Amino acid sequence: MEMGSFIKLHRQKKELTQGELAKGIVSLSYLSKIENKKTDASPEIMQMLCTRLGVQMNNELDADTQEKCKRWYGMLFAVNDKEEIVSLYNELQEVMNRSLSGGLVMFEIHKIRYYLVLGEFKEALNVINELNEMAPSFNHVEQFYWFKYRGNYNSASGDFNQAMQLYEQAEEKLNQIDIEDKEIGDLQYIIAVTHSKLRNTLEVIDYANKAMDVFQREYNFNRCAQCHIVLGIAYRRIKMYDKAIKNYNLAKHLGQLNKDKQVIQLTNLNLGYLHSAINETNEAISYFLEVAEDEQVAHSERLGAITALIKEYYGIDNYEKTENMINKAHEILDVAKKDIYTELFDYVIQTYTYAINEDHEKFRKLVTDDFIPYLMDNKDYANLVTYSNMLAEHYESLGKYKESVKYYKLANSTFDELINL
Amino acid sequence: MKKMITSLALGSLLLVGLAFAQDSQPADLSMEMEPTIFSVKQPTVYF
Repeated sequence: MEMGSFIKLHRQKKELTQGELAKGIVSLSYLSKIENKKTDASPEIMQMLCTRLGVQMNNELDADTQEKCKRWYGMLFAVNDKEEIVSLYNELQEVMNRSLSGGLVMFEIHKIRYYLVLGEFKEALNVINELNEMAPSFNHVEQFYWFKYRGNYNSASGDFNQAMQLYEQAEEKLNQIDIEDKEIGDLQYIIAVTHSKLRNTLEVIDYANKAMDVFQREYNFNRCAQCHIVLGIAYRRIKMYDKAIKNYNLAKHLGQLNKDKQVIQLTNLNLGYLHSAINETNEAISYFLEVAEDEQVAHSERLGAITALIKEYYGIDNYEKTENMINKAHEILDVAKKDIYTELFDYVIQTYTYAINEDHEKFRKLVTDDFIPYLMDNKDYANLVTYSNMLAEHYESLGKYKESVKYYKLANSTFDELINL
Repeated sequence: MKKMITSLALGSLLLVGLAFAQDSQPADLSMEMEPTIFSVKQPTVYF
């Protein structure tokens, strides 16, 4: 990593123009050449530029800072207190603001993960944009994290194809770097989850098993439980229900050993989906209820369970319970809106509200004008099939066969898309 | 005649749709939820 890139990074952070930094030291065009790595400035010039930027030129970070960096990087992977992560970050950022050294790049790259972990996606994107220009000069280890965390950003934004390409680039780097096994396992686990989002079921099984091998060797039961859930989903999709249930039960068992409520209830939620898929409505409802009634569970899982219950109750014509669940969903949505992305839940809840109240015009308008275009934009084929069918059935019940056929056709073609994924 | 052909065509499409709706019920429409790719305990983002 050339020094010019560091100079540029610090100048931009201090919001100085090239003219302001160069004034009295070098010409503007020479500074531009330094920053763009077209020339190597003398140590004296570099020192003067560093002094103006208020940073110290070091070849390496001191041992204490290096140790703190390592601890902070590790904290971004395990279950940790957010406040502790933020506090150590602030401490390190202060040191980095005063220093121009090799460790700065790794710190900057890890900031992408840091902001993602905190749910501050815009900040993560800002860091990516800041680093983009200097990325070609990253060494192999830096490139590994650069690809991985950009993949994480794309996963968080729902662009799983792009995320997968970046994870594959990170995976290619594994041959060129010496990295801890748990890092390899984490990448394999992330690739398994991303394949699951893309419904590449056989790849899910392959990568989840690879990751599980690593986590078992490390006795990391929390991560093993996550792998079992991903495997459970994959086996359910290829209709190997016994294997799916076995994996879910193992995940639940590990969750109980770790007293990890999130793992236990995420397993229950997926067991609910499994029983729903094989039309065992009562079992599905009982699993969904366990999640919906647990106030310690994250909002996204609870809303997932409640919307599933709305669909189940509506499907068996129990409109009173459907309505109860809709009210419950509204209560959680009011609180959750601050923390999570709730647009899909909003649409689902509103759709069923109009459906049970037989508010035909509002139902039609919401589903045709807003909900279906939203699902198409997000390539959410599974929901698109469900709600196109629901709309088609609605038109059919009103005797509007032409409209009904239009949405059955949409459901049909979407279903083909889903199969071809 | 034209009207009859149209209604026949629509009728068969509807039948296809209905057959599909029945066939598709046990198919892969479940929206399972994968665990997070971030291990820190935080409100999960619904992708």
